Amino acid sequence: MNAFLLSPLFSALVLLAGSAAVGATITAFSQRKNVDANAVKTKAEAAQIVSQTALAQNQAMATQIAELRAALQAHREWDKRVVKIVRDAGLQIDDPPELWL
Amino acid sequence: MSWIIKVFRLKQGEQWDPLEIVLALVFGTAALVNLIDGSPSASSTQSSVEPCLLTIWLVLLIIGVVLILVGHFSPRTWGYLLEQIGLAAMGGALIAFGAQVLELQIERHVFTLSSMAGGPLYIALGLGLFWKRHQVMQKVKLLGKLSWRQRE
Repeated sequence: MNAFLLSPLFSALVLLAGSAAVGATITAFSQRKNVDANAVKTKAEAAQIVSQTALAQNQAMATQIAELRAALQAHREWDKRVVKIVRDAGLQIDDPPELWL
Repeated sequence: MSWIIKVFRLKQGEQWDPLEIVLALVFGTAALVNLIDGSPSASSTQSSVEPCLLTIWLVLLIIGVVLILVGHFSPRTWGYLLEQIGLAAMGGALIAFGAQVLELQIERHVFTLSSMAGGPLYIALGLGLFWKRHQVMQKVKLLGKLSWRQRE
């Protein structure tokens, strides 16, 4: 108690630092099952980089596919309109090819 | 540089944080010398705190340094878990010391540029170590996600 009275700020902060260390120890215990703790760091980091790159490429592809779908959707609407106009004019025309959207 | 690689048996691809290692070695050595040898010419900061509290602080600092060095140099991923405990302990200890130095500086109205670097510098270093801990934990979380995906 005297120690606290002599330097209350330092005492409180040392107590907080100790609590932070204890908290970090609890975090380490809780995370030890989630992480393959015996994996080699360099290999794990390499796998992390590969998976992040794959994820980034996947997202880029998903964006491109979404853009392509939007473009094809407009195309399909146009095809339908043109086929209807042609048939209304009394001409025979096959259905437009399926775009599988 | 090649002798460093030989001494620490560094392998290609391993990434070390020189600032973290140097900080840990400097503060660890200072704390160890202080703990073993005592402080014959105790500074005003040391004499402003209770000896038992100072010992607790020194022990916390040394534990932090040891865990940082063991965790950082460990080739396995459990090193990250140890390192983050060490970073929390040492970061907290530095912030506590910095705050004490800053309090004394304010009490004694020491506001020269060189002396003002004292307290805030220790606090900044402590905050930097907490930042580093956050980065290490992000790595751990990502590795956790990766291992769960592999299991699925």
